[in-house]
Amino acid sequence: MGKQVRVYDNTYSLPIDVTVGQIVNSSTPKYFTGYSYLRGKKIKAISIMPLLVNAPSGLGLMLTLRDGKGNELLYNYPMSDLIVSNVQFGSPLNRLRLFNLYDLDLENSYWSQTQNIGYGAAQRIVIINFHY
Amino acid sequence: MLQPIVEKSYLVELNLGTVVGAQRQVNFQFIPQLKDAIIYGVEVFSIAQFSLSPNGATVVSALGLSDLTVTFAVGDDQDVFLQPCADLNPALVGGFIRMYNNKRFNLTKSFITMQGVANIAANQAVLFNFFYRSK
Repeated sequence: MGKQVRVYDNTYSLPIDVTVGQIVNSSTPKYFTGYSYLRGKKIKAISIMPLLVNAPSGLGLMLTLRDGKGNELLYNYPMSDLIVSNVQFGSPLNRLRLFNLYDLDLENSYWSQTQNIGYGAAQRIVIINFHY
Repeated sequence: MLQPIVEKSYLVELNLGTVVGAQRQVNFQFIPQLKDAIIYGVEVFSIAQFSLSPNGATVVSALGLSDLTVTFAVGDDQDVFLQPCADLNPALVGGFIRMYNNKRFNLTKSFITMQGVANIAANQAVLFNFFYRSK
């Protein structure tokens, strides 16, 4: 017991952008198509940097991650639970969530949200940081 | 304080139903992914973390969580009895995740109890996040 220390060799950051005039429907999973870089890596922690006021909680942002065999590792994990301190917006929890996610397959994983998103301008709503 | 290193998680939505009332109980639905799963942590979320539930219901407020308790059964035994839902909300307890000693919760025999109705309303949802490993 006691203090937990985890050492990360790398961090891979993945922005979530919404383009001008795009309506992002809440019922559609948004796959991380084209992001194969983390394939096979063991993820040790995940953190979220919100770039819009209350984006993770207000939009109900969620993360579903699968491994290379198609097994669900995280199912509808709330991004608001991954916000750590030193961010612009949101309610930091000051507790970095620790994971042992083996063989992550980002291309077979997706983000989703419970509210429709529609902005008049291009927006970067959050950045997801994978520590591995 | 030791915190879990999460291998798998599953978000479960529990709807309070069309009628709320003191001492009223609502059971969990059967979740195939959590059958016989070994559960070592549970979180509960309020509207402060989730503006709308995945099924489109209004989420219970942080104050509303203080009206609710949860009972988790292992087999037929109620191993976790009337635990306050507010105690499982990380935002209310310094960001911590409450941990359990590798329990095989029998969700269909587990339920929430409305201890009061001052801050909850019909058709609101409570969101539980279970941290588990497969058998």
